[in-house]
Amino acid sequence: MKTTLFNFNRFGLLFRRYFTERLHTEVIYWSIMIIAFLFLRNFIFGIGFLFFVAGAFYAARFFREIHSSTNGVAFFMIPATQFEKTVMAIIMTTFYYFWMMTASYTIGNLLGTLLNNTLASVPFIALGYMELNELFYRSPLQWVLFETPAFFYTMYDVAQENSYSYFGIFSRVFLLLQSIFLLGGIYFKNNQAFKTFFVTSVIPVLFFIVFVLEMRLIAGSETAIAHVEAEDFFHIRDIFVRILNGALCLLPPFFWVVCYFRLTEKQV
Amino acid sequence: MDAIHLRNVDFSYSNKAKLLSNVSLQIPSGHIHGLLGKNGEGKSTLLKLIAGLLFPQKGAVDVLAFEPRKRHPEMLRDIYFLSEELPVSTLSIAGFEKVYAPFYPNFSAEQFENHLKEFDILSKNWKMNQLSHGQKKKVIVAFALATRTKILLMDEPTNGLDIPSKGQFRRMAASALEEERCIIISTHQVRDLDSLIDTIIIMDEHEIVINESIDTITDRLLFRVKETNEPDDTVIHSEDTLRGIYQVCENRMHEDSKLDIELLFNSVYINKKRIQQIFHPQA
Repeated sequence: MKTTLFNFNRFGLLFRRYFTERLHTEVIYWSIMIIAFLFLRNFIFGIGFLFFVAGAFYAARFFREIHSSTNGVAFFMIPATQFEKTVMAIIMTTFYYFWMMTASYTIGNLLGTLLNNTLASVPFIALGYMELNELFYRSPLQWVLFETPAFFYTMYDVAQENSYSYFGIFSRVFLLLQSIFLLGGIYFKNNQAFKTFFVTSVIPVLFFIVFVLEMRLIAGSETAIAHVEAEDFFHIRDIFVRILNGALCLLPPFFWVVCYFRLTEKQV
Repeated sequence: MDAIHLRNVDFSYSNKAKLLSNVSLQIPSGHIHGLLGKNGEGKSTLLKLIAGLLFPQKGAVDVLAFEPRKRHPEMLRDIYFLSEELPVSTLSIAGFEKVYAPFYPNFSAEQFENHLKEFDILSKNWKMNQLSHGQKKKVIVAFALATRTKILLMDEPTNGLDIPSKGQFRRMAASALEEERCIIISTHQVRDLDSLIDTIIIMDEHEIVINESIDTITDRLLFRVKETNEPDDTVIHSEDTLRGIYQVCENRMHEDSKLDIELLFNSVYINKKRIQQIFHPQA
């Protein structure tokens, strides 16, 4: 077994440990997700909410064992580098989670549509359950998660010059949130998800401050902001979106690096 | 060769008084060391510093020529830390072996099997979370011994073991000792280590009072039983029992005697300065 910073054999063993130890939890978790998607299948806001909230909990709880004096000892004594452990956590909380969530959605959507259409074809009136007939309508199979929702076009003026990709922004926001919650999971001893959410709520405020500062820089003064022309406003908004895009690209790797150092410095 | 070397180590948990103060210690391979001390003296902390689970505020720790706080995998695969509280696992014994054994290149599946048999753990299909505390401890002790790591740190390994199992543990630990292996057993139940350890480290008031081999201890201290308590300036500590008066004395005539760990332990607490003078006259 080579002992460089990264070794595929050890890395593989970490995955094997994870899936053997948490197989039961994983099966329950993804079964719950499939059931949730069964009901939410065409409701994009519900799907989005579940995607992000469940992801936040998944990431925040990933390192929960390091806060326990017994399991923490076991975790840190595993002969693998902290780099390997961090990379594994990143893969699990972002790529694996994303893949599993998409798979759960696909299964949930297929099963949900099938179930709905089967029930819709049952003549409840003939069976004497008139009110049930109003509940189920045949609906075609839709894949709302993989389509760009209408609100996105409104938000970005029909994808202004097509420079904004729905999937691109969605992925970057997802990566950012997962990296923040992963770090929160290492940082906070208990109630990691809630505490991280509380701290994270400061971030939109910071973005707002950046936006206002930009406006001030361009308009000259606070009173002049009110008189900013629509053209200038779009210009400011474009600069702000560029800054936001930059932040969305740079922040996840930054938080992952902080995760690595935080894990390296963690004592149990 | 010293497997472990601590130099002037200070450690305290945040906002609390120093738990370890200027601790210097050299621990060679090829021995079973008994780390003794009262509750809260810092035995577990010392083991965690050696394992790299805690970092010293001052001083340096060397373990197998590595700095433990860096948690280098090459060091970690040669250290096994058996903590007092056992990790929660839903795996079966076989699953536990399958998951953790590959991390230890010298792990012996045969030894693990034999140790389990000796401890009356009859099936590897038993789930870890369905075992009693004592049974779980036996599995982890058996696993720890089978890893054949160069350093084996055991924090209160006999806690939760029944009386026959304590004897089995002593036999297995003794048989697991190799020339390149260093076993440190921390306990406050000193009787459990009787006839097992060959070096004794005693901690008191957050410092190391004794770190000597049993041969050196019995060379300098005499353990005897007297019927009457006659005045004798060599006596360091004595305890009145139904069998007679147990005494720890200065061994000025280099007489042979059998070490009584509990008596030694008590004499350190009652007459620490004198004991220190005997072992470190120049200090």
